[in-house]
Amino acid sequence: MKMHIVTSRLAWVLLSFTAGPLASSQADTIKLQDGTSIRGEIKATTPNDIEIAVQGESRKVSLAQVQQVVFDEEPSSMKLIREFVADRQWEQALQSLNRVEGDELQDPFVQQEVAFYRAYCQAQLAMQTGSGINEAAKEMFTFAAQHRDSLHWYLATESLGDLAMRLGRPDKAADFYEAIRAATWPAMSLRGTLLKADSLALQGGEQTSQAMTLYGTIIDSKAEGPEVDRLQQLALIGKARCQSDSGAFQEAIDTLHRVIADNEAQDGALFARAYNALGTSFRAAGKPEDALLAFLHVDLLFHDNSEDHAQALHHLSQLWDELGKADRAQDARNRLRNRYAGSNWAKKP
Amino acid sequence: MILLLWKYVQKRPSRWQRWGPWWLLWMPLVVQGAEPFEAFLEALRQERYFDTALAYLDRMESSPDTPPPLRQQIPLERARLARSAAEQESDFGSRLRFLEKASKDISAVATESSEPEFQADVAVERWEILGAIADQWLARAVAKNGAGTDENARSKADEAITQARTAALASVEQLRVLLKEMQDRPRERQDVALRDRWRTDFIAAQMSVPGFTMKSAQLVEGDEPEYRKRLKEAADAFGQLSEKYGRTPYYLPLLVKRGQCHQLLREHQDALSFYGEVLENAPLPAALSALATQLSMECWSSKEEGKSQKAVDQGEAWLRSHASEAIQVTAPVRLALVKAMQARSEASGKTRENDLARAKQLLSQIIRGHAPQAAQAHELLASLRTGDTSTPNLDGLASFSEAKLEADAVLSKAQASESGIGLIRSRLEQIKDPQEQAALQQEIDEAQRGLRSQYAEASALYRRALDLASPGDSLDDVNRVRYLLGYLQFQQEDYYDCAVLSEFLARHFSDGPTARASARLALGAYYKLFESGGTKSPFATDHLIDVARYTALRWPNDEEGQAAALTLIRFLISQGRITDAQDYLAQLPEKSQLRAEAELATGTALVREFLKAKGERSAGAAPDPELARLKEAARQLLRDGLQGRGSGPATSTSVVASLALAQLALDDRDAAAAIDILQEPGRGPWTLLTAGDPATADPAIREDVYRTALRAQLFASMNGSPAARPTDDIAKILKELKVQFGDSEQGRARAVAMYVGLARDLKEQVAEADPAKQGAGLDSFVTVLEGIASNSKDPDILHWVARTYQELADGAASQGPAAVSKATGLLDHASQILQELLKSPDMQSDAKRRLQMEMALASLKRRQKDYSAAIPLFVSVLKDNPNLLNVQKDAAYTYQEGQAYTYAIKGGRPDPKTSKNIIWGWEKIGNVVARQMRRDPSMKEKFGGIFHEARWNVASCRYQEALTLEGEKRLRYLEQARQAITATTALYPDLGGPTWKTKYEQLKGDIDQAIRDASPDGPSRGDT
Repeated sequence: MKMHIVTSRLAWVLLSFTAGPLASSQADTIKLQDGTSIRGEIKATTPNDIEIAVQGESRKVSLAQVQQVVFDEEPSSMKLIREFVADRQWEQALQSLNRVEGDELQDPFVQQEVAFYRAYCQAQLAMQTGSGINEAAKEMFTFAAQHRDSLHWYLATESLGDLAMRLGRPDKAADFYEAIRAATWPAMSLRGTLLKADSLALQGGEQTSQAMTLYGTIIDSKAEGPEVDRLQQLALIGKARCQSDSGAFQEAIDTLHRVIADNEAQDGALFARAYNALGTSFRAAGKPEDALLAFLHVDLLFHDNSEDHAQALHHLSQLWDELGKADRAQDARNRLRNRYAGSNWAKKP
Repeated sequence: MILLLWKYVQKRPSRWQRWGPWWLLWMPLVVQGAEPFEAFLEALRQERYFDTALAYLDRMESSPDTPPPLRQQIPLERARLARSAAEQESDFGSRLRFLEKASKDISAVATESSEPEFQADVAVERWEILGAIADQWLARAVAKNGAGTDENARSKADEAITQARTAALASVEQLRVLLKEMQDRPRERQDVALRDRWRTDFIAAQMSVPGFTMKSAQLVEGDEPEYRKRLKEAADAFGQLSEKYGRTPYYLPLLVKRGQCHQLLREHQDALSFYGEVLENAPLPAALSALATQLSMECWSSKEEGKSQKAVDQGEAWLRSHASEAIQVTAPVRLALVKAMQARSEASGKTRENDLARAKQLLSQIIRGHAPQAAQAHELLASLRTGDTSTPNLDGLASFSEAKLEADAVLSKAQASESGIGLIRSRLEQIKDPQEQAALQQEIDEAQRGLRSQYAEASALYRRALDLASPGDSLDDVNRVRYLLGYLQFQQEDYYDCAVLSEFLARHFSDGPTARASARLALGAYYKLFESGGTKSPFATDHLIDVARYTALRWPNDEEGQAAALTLIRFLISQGRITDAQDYLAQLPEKSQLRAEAELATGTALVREFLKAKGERSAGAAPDPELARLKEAARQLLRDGLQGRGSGPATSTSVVASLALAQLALDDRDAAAAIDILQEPGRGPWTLLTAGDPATADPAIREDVYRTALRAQLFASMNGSPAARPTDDIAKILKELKVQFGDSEQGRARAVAMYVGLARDLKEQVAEADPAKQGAGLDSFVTVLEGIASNSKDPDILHWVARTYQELADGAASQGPAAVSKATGLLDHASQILQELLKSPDMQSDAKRRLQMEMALASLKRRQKDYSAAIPLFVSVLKDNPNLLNVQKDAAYTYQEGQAYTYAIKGGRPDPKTSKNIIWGWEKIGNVVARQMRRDPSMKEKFGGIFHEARWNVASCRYQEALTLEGEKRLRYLEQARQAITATTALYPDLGGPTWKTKYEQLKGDIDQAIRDASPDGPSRGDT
């Protein structure tokens, strides 16, 4: 589920890339969400905005408006690297990054860009394979510490949180996600709030009520825009999970049915999260057949996100057994182990 | 069949896809608006989760949120799913049950107030379901099972065909009206997609009507005029339709149907011309191509045509060109191919072994692929068994229960025969008289022949019972018959069929009473197949793992499940898949006997892996943390396993595990701990062996116990451990081991391998040991080396033993004068071995090895100060290999140490042919390497040291010889010695670097002093 969000964020900031005409313009280019572009010389960046000089006049552009940034002096391979990242082909992206020559990295912004992508790809690869997480976290931490003014800083911090989650430290992850809440535009700030709430919910116990409060903050937010709408739906799912954890199964199930009804099935990541939460609630409520149907939705229809799919397969492998279908249980177990060996779900008993 | 043909023409959208547009209009009104019903249901169907899909429909139906139009259609969709589920089933009863459920569901659909489109869909589904039911009964009614006619099936088939035909005609009329209405609409109001779909349904329903006539003809096959009349009627109707739809996609399927009518009329050439026309059209939908090919093959292999070879060729060629098609598509051709091969065998009167294997392969693929022909494939597979000579009279058997009773009775007799054979066998073991033994053996052979015949008879009867089974018969009874058939197949060593049938039962009827036993039987059969094919049989390996895994997971708390888990783990270990084995181990219930046994097996395997990996590491390699982890994991598993077993009686597994644990202790150099493990009261392997416990009866285990005990005792004695037993115990173990190994070639090889391993370990221990304890270690080592020397004839091993003696001698010599006699003794051992080796006839013919041994012995003789024996050996080596510099040096030193200084300098033993000295001496050695260095300065590094060694020794020899002389002669020799050094210093001022320079200076100092001492004036005061 985070993968999807991350990808959305990447698409937002980095990925919708059309370098052809830009490359020949001899200028840094900021492409905005509304389809227009600003060309000039990027003077400075912060996690919240970019300062760019256009014909000698300096102006600030909020990252909330930005779809992509292309540096004039970046290596030509950056286009390909961004495409690999968009396709989640982390190994290929890293190979291309490793082929970037030192003399292509004269510009400090480009150096920063390459350093970020390297750390980011290593983090994603580590989470995908389950190995090298500590090393990836170290590299990302170094990047985040050395480039506090990077336009990717929130994404870097989010990756640190994700890595902490994979290392079984949701408490640490919550600290990282908290830093994202400082963003100056609501969608990013709410995103940090959602991630923090998710990490608190995972800790359970007393943290659940804090998570509920944060989910409530998102749900009640007056901010607007499709990104915010989506975050609110994800918050509803998170809230339902907390309800289920505290024994309010029917409330959780009703909330999740409402989320499913109110959204389009094209948003596979949202539906995967919703059906997984629904399945978990049904299981907790002692309804294995209903839980099975919910998890099967993820397995058969909304399996693009590896973590969600791994979670569904984990539950299915147990539910099929409970329902006397050992061969199907074994099939789910095999797919979980073969496809998502690095996932924490594959390691659960 | 019509349904099948219909599918070639057009892939119809699913019901949901068809209704989607209008039922989705209701979506905003319902709570579960975005639930992706259609996609989810289709996905379940694709996965063949029909049961789950049916459960999903039930939930939708009972949910208050489901919109009424959707709810109305649920029975229809349920009927459709039940029909799909029926296709998945391989046995008649299960198929019929699903189809009857589908029929019931379709009857429950309320159409009165529904849209015409929906009514039309229901009507189509109805005749399709009824047609499928008719097909089932027809197949049962016309089955050629040698038991006469099945009147009940015939009557049911007749009834179903009539109903299906009526339903199809109703559908035709309904669609005709709808199409007319559509046609009458103004063009802009016509729904083209809907019209096309209705037209397709209309033609399919029309085609089904003569199809049912054709089927009904098969029910009156005994009444030839009526039979022919019906078939001709059907053929004419298909002909009219094909003329009517000549330019449409329905034309080719209609040709196939016409061909089928002619085929049933035994007009094979006409039929073949229709099939040929179809097959000439390329590209053809694969399913239609398969059908035409199957029917064509049947024609060729019919008795009338008698060209089964042509059919086989056609089938094989078709399968080759359609290799990528799904089994569901290719199954008809596969089945026809098996039948064609059978026909070929019958025609030629002999069965080809290859045919049998190929047929089994084809049929098992159909069964495993869950193709609709799986039931037929099962029956054919059963009939393919080899060696079935029994032909019981099956004609009088009219029902499943009758046949089953008969079969049970024969099986009881067979079991009595088995007991009888067992009794005779036990008598045979007690009898000594050869004549009586022969008589009893003959009795056993006869009884076994009888038993085989009984097995075959029982099998035939059980198969007949299955043929006669109907939906009214208890499924448990039917499955019990299937299980017993599998058991009999196992007894008759027909493991392939047994495995397929038993696995089918275990998986498809996993809640039934025979499921567990069937799983065990399948596992046994796959194991037998694995044994016969080994790792070359991935089929058996994969299935064995698959079935064991399934059984273990399906019945985790039952004996079968636990035994399967253990089998799985052991099998994985035997395949080297240790990690997989560990994964499965983790799934076993903790604190159970099973878990303990599995831990012991896995732990033992890990110890083997650890020792193997360690053995492959080069000496002196840095410690490998991974290897250390492996060792600890193994140790933990073994300890847990032994603890988990509690105080239960020892088994071979527990003994082997304890031995593995002791080996780990020895690897830690903790001989005391190893001895504790071996001698642990009640379960230590040594304790059990000496008490004669049956767990140590296996000779391989006994050998392992002795071997480990010997290592432990030797290590302990080397370390002076208090746990060490007296040396006479070591001798006792050695004696026992000798008995264990025996005097055979193989036994000696095993003994040598063990001793060599031990010696290597001991060598390491001696090297690591406290110098004070090395003496004790040497004794142990000599014991082991003697063991090797007395068992091995391998020159390499014996040479290694000799070298090891020499190395031990080096070690002993460095420990001071007290150990010199020990060192001498060790060298004597080495020398003796090498001398014996050189005497062996093999050595005469192996020049290279002989050279190696002579060099080793010459060197050894020099060390033993037996110079007169050493020199001829050096000559023997150098005669043909003068350039062996190290040997030349060794020879020169030999002269030198034997005080033959002139020989040492000038060389000796002239070659009679060349008159040149074979042993060069130091002067020539120095000259040769100097020349090499002049020619190639890069050789200086290699030869510089040898050159100065030679030059220094020339001076040294002169000096040593001078000391043996007196007076002027001594002085002259001393001057020559000094001259040698002076000349070298003049030519090579650096004197080969600091090391040699120091040596030269020391020698020169000694010479100068000796000159002063030898001068007639005596030592000069000024010089002192």
